[in-house]
Amino acid sequence: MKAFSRSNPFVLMIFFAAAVGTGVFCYVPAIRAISLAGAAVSAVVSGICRKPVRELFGCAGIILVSAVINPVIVTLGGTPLFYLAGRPYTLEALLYGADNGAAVVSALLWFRLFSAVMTSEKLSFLMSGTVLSGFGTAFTLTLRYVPELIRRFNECRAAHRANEFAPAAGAVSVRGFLSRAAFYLNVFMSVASSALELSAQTADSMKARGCMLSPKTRLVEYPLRAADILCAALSVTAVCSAVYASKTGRLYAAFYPAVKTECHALAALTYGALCLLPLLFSILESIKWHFCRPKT
Amino acid sequence: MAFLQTENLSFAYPDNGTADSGAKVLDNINITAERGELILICGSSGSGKTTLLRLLKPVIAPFGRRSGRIIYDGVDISALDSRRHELVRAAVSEIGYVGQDPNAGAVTDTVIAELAYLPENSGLPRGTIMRRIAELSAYFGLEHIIDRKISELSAGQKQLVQLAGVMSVSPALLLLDEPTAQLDPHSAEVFRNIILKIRAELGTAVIICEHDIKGLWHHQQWRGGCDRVLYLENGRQSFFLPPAQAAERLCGTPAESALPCCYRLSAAMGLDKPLKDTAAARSFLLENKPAPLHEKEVYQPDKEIAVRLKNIRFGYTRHGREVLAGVTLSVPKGSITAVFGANGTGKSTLLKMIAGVYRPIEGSAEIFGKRVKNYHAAAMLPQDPHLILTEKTLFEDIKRGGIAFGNGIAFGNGNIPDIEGEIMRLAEALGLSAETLGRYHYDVSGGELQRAALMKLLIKKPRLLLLDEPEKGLDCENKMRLTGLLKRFAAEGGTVIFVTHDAEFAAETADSAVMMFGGICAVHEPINDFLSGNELFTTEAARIARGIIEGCVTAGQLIDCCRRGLTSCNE
Repeated sequence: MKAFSRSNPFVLMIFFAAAVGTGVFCYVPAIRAISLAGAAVSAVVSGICRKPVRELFGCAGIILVSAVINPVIVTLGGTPLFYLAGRPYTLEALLYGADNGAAVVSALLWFRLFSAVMTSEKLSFLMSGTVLSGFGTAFTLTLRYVPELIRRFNECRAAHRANEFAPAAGAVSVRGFLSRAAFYLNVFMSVASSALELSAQTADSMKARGCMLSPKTRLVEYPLRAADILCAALSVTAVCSAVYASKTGRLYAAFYPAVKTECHALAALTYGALCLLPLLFSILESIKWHFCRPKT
Repeated sequence: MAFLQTENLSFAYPDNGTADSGAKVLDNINITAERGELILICGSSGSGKTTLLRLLKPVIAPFGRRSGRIIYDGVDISALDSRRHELVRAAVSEIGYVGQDPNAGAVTDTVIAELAYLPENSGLPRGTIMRRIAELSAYFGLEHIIDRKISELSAGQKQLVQLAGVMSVSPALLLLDEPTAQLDPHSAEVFRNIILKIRAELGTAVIICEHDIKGLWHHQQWRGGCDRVLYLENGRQSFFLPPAQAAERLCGTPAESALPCCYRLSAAMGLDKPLKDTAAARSFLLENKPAPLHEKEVYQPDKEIAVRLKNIRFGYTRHGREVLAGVTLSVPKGSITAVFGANGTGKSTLLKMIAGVYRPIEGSAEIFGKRVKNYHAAAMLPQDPHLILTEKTLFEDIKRGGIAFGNGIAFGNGNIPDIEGEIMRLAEALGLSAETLGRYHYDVSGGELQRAALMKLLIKKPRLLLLDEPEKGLDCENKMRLTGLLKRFAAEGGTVIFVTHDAEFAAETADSAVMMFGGICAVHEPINDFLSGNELFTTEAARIARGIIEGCVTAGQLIDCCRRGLTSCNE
């Protein structure tokens, strides 16, 4: 996955926008299945799933829950499987729930891959030199502050907990929801005030180190390689073919009253190729490693 | 003309109606610094050290009324504050600044990005930036953490990264505002060595504010430590002299205890030439035959046990390392115990265990004969006192501590009678004015903050006080005040356990010492025996007196023995 993550940040942005956008906005089960499979395979080969079997079972659980719950709420559909408190529990609603569950899970997996591949450096690169460059710095600072705030929150909670019982003789403990709420409000107030103080000091540090100066240099550059152009072209093609097929009525799905779906072959093929791109990069990388390794 | 010179520099914050606004924070400061010189600025908290440093870097200079001149490399520094771009760029690149808080200085999220931040902003060519980063990571020993996230680093590493980031544009002047105040002694020593190395090898002028001045006063390896010492007293320049003369001026003042022990000894014995290091001081002792300790203080612990830990085991994760791996400890009532140990040996965890924050996986923890689980009688001061202060003023905070705390814990009768009177009585004993108590906790000095946080705990009249590195960031006067306070608390029957890295502070304050190692209490003995028996983890006085004056661990004891030795010789 290193080869894929070395891609140009603009190309990566286009890739993820195409992969997630098509998977989420196209209601066709075949497209969603492709998106889910592609996201799952990419997540596994990239190593972001530390326990793949367990996590994939978790994903399957989300789809199952979505499928089972949807017919309880929605009673549309012409094939009742059974009646629950007098309401029909239909096959179509079950399939619709599974379809939406698959969209949610695939989107989650794509975003996990996105956060692993798009480092703060790449995001800053994307936004530098534009009106969003300040937003890029703010984003980087936020990334740094989140673990800092969690650490501070834990420290603060321990400090307050260590003193919550500090008594004179005969102290009595008042436990309950309101007391807990007051306790955490106190901790939150302390963390919030320290965050404000910390941010003022960070602002000074930024000024002292020339954040206001221009022109700036970018230490890391991401040249546009042939593979990047191929990736961008495939992303655009996949989106265009999906839009074209949808507009011409060859890529659609209807679940109620009966399941009717049509999947355009070109749209499915290009989208499938797009979703498998991370896997392709990974395979090529493995082949290169195989041949580059010194033979003993 | 000197490389850096201030001429009658005075400064006052704008008058915004508060009690201290409009008053001069700095008054008539005249100092000079040449290239490659190290100037040490010291003085008590709130004496204007930080304000002076920030005035020397125009882009972060505080807003207020300034008079007098600062000449930097032949140019009035106000020119660098102009809107002319190339001058601002020079002010940013040529004058480096590192602040006190290692958590607040970083802007980016990785070490390499942090090192590149300043040269990128300065517009240096990419090749130059890479070259500087490569050089600096080798010079500062950062290769192994170059790809790490800033949030994963220790405080010492964060501070080194800050310094390396500033050095990436080769500044001619380095301004350091108490950079080691938040670091443990080992990290502080590493940081000080790097500063001295930079001064000696790169010829960078360094101006540094420090409370713990011993490390920079004299250093055997790097051109002998600082070149001159500026001592500020309430914003006024008390003196600006070389270290030997500065030591003479400081002797006999409350700031004396901040001086290296050998300097104090030379001044007390009236030597013409100061003893510059431990070896010289030992030679002096051997020649002059000091008297033995007047009367060896024998620590007699109370029979009642305040804290009893039996085979305590605890870890933060199920499969991870055991932080406490079978701690057994008994602390008598009315004693002051110092807990030593390297980072990660479980010192703070031990305090939290006694305070009831964590429950042991194995073993039992008792306070005054009752299980901690059922009886919480401890008050704990964390390393950062801000953590337990939440209100708009210190007074409100302390009052809240007295009435109820956090979880809605109320006292037996729900309140302390005349709590405001009680607060004022305690404030008087701790030397805090009503004006200070009316301030927000981020607007007071480190010493005032520490005392106010202690007040918040003491107002509850706890039987056991747990303090996590209470001396960190305090100047010598506040350390002495804290020692007095803890001794008074113990004399009134309270028990104190404090974690520390500062052997000098422990020698003055504690009755006994515990050494944590590998999650257990490896040593627990009276403080004099502990410090006399240690070779590395001990005080400067104990190192000087080793094998010559048995049981001598503080500078006061050393001087006393030498004086009595001299008197008996004369007789």
